[in-house]
Amino acid sequence: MAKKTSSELSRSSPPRWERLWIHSGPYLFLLPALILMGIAAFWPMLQAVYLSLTRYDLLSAPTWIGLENYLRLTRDPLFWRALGNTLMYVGLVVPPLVWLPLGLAILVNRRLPGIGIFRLLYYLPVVFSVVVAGLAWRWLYAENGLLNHILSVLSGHPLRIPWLTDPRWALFSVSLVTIWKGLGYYMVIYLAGLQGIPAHLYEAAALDGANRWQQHRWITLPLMRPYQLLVLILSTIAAMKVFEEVYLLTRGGPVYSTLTLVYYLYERGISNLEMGYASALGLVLFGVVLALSLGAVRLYSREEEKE
Amino acid sequence: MLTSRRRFLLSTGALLLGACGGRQLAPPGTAKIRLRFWTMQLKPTFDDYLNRVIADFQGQYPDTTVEWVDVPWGEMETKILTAVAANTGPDVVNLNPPFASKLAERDALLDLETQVSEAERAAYFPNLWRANQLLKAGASSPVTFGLPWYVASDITLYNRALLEDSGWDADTPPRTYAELAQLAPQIRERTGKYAFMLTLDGSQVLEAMVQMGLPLLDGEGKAGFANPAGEAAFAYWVDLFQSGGIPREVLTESHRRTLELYQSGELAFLLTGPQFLRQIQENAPDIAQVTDVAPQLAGLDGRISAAVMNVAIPKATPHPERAVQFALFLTNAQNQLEFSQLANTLPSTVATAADPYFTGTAETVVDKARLVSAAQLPQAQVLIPPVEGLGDLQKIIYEELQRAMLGEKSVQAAVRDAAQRWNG
Repeated sequence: MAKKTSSELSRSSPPRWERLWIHSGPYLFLLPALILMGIAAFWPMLQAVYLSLTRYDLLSAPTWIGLENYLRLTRDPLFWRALGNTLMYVGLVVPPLVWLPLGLAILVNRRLPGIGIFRLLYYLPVVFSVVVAGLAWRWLYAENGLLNHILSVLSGHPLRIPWLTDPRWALFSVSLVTIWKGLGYYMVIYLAGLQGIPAHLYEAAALDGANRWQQHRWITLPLMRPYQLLVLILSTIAAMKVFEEVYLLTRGGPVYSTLTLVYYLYERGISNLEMGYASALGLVLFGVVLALSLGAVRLYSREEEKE
Repeated sequence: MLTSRRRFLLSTGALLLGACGGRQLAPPGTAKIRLRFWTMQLKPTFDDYLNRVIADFQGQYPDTTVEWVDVPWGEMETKILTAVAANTGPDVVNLNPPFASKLAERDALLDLETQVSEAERAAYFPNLWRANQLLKAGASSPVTFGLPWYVASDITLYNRALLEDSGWDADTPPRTYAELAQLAPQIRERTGKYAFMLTLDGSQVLEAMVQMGLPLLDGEGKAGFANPAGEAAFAYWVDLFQSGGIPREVLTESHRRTLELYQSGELAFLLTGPQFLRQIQENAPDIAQVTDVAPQLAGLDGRISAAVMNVAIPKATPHPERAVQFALFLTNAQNQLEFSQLANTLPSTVATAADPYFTGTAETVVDKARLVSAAQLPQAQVLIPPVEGLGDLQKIIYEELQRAMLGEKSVQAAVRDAAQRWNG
């Protein structure tokens, strides 16, 4: 009896090593990933914080200058230009990328013969390397390129729209490429969401006499809101970090009209060897992306509460 | 079972130890000096040539092994910087003066002035030697940061058919920028094509402006172009752009696009190195058939520009003497002759340029291109000499020039603003 009691006791309070294992075991499993993240992400981030407080040209040792890089940012007109362009770019790219792929996903979420081909076609631009897409669009946008040719034929008189060579058009033209390339990617996210909506909801609504539009309005759209938030955050972060399209199409020109924060960071860091200043720019970019993402989450939860 | 496991462990351990201590275990008399040599985009076309040169050098210096690494053009700048910063850089590296001078400004390259004898130096064209010198602020004598290697001196390739269609005698193409500007509207009007295109992604436009008489800097390093000569050089491009004489794409495009447009018959003139002629023959045989060659377009004083590739030695090399010996070997007259023939480029050594290959008679348009280009060599010079902050100066001038081209400000205001920004 006494034996039974002691075994019961030992079962109710496991030995010390077992308790230790229960508490620390999960962390041990997480450790490899944490080490990798630490080396590849956290350490460079901490280094960037340190470098942003120094003058560093890669070749000589960093010199401590305190907050000078950040003060210089406030006086640098090109930084403000790049920030303005980047925000404008976000404004041009994010709304279409939140709404157009949803429409596309609803369209291709039907059981029709050959619908798989449509899904594939919309997804194709995502698979293209951004370099290939950039070069192809450069030809399309050329003064005597396909786009101007088609527009000339349609309008009946020669048109030479300066897609990339006029400061008023350039940012808009670059943003079109991002939208074209992102449509399929976000469409797949929405498609996964649409296919997760239980069919009985639509059946119940139909029994209640709801028509197609009412079903969309009161079932599909509300249930897609979490996905819209995800797409909003993902596309905002991607748009804030735009580089490849700018590098391939305009290199920030003409006259800085497509200069974005990441392109400016690249120019200062790699071309001008101002690594300290580039690190400060990187941290500001990080702050802006974080603020925009938190803002999006907050906006979403406020609307949730309202509903 | 236990024996086989022990044997496995012992043999693995022996292998690992052998791998770690390979250097110590090497028999005496084998290579002790390891030179890491980086080139810019020469693989795979020149594999055989460079492997042969390396083997010859190793034959002369049996205690040395040369490890050749080829880096794509666009990646060299980042790679060399990070490698030099991490102290894992090469011992000998192929760069160009604008970029090498960036490293020299930061004291990262060996000053070859003290490493190369007068006789060795005399083998190179003096004008090309000077292209690899940098006078640092406050210094009395320049730093020589590289040995000149292969050279390209631009020539004028032109489409005879387009010239004839526009009513210009195809046997007497324009020789100066001023003449070309006169011809541009005529070509546009009669053929619908453009005369030429120089893009703002490189230094070609600035070089042309220097040829037109724009003085870059004065003796004190201040802007030397805030004067009528500078304004005339700015006005040249602004007028051509605003009158539609050159494509708007000069603002955002690169030299590659210029080549594409010439190959598709959209441009009458291509101002480029002779090495591109072979590419045109391969990609656009029809255009190559009507292509002819003329000397480089000149400005007021007839100066001719050259682009030089060099070979530099990072200061951190543990074997500076052997690295210099390899750089001298690679760029000697004999090795340069073979390379020029393979690459269709020009040599930087006087003896090579005197070879009949560069002075003979032309049978084909490729020969003509080479001979025209080689004939320019003794007068050719790097028109934008390596000066500290050169990249910034070019950027300022191009930015203000673009503003004037787009009509955001007048030529005079653009020149004045550019000068003010440079002078700080």
